[in-house]
Amino acid sequence: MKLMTHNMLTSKGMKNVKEGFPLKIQAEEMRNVDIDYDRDFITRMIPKLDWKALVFAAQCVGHKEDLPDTLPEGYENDNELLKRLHHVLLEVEVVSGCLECPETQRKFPISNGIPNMLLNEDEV
Amino acid sequence: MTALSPLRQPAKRYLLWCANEHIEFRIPEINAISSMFNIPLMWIDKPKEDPYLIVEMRNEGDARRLMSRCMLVRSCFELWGQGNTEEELHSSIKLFPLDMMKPHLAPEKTFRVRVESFNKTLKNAEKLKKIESLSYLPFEGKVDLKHASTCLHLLEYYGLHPNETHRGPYKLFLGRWVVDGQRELISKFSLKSRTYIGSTSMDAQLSFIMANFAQVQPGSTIVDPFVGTGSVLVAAAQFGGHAWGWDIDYLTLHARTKPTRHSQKERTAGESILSNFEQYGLKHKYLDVVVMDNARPFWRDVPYVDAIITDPPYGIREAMERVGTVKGPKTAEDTIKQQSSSHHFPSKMNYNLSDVYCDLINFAARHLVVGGRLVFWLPVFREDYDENHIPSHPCLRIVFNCEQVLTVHASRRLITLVKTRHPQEGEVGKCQVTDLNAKFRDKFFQAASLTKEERASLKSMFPRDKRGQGLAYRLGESKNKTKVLKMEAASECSSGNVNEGRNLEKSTLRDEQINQNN
Repeated sequence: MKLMTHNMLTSKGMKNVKEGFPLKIQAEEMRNVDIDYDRDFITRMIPKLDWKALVFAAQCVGHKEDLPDTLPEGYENDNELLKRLHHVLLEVEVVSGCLECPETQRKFPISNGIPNMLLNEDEV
Repeated sequence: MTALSPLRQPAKRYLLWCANEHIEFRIPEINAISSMFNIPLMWIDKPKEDPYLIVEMRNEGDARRLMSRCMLVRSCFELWGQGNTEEELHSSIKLFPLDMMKPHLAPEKTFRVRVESFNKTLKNAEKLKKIESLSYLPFEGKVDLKHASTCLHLLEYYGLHPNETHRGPYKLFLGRWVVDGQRELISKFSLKSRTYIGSTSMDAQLSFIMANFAQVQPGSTIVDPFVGTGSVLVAAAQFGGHAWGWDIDYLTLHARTKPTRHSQKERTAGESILSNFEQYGLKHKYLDVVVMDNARPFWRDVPYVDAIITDPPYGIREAMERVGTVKGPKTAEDTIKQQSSSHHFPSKMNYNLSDVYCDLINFAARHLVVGGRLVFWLPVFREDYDENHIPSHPCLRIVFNCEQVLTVHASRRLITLVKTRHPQEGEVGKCQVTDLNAKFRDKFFQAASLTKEERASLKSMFPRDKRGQGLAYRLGESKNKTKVLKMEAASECSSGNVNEGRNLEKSTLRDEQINQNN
């Protein structure tokens, strides 16, 4: 699971959950992959990201030092920052572990890099 | 023809020689591509069935850009002349401006003339005669049969019906070959050589057509909420989209289902949706896949998707699933037992088909960017088809609706919707999708009452051969309706359940569900 995906996931599908975001990442196994840098894609995605949640996620997996606390103005022209963002969003992957709901502490397992967001019958 | 045209500037006429299949999809595909690239295009001749089209475009650059994505056009020619008879053809060619011909036939260029006939075979002697009939053209360069810089094609079209060819060609064209379409992608991406497939994998050609309808471009974000083995996303990735996929079926996402290839006994470690992307050098476009239930999505509420491209269940081959239980709530003890099992598969109840499409429509309305598109297949019981039953939402407008006939009774339609604005509080979609399973189920157990055609329809709806050649795969790769019906009749003798690439338990479950539904 990439951090870009984590930034879009919530536990709001569960009953009694108000926000369910951001999910806490508990990583067991991580890996780095090599993904071609696509500046257009990164700059298009940035406005859709929740920056605080991204920083939080980066902290969970030990990549905080790569990112500023807030998204600086004029980021579109900061190639250095864009490249670091590309790395954190797309090249750092959680292979196994889980995502934890901030309100119910319910854990969603990740295996083979694939998160499982399915609920049990009594949670719907 | 450099005369001023409806394009209000000098324009050129191009002959688009088309593939002889997916006829209803041909013109929409060209419209989708031309609007995506802002290519002004004027229709001059668009016959309903004949495999050619004539359009006007500003220049060759536009023609090349159009063809850079086109799956259903074989080749594009600059049109030098046309006619219903050889006489008319030559008269027409003689009207074509010499200053447009000369640069391509200049001394430093090499040329070649090819004669092609559609629906009739011409002998070499006949072809040679036709080439000689063009000797009045200002040829100045040398002939090069292998690597000519200018290729002229004399195309003779004898219509679509084999019994009428004695009457002579129905239409003749002379064109200078410009560029071919993208049909070579069809064999390159064929499911036959795909690393990981299941019986519901979408065939390559249709996947690319879907990506064109969705106007996928480099930099775009694409999702498939019924991703299965990722076949639809692979095509979108090839056209530059970055892809997310999800599915309720844990086993399919983890490539742990029973293999559907006849010769394959077990899944290998290398099989996964990611491996499909890697096979074509597309891993850079792969974002993630997630096990998720569309009835209860877990996405943050922002419009982040440029296009949703998907093939939802039709309610026939695969029982549709959502998490929930038809029986009462479990006791606390049951729940604890289940949660502690690391591979718990929540029991799934039937997911009403209309709800499947409603959830999809509502997801699209919330999560597409304005201007983004939803492209999806819709199963249709042909006798009952009504345009008003197409899933709709106040924020989504229909762009295309193309039918692919499967059998006498059933077809599927590729629907393209575009998001025009964000939904307001409480705005939801509605749809009324015919559950073909329900339609046929009453008759299913009364075999005596089925007509031969109905039986054939059922066989295609419930594919039963062990090869696991599912509906999409089989029909996508066959070009002929009658062939399809023959294949269905032939599978009379096959036995065994097909694992649809979903839960292992499901093949037995499905039979139970059919009983239950009754």
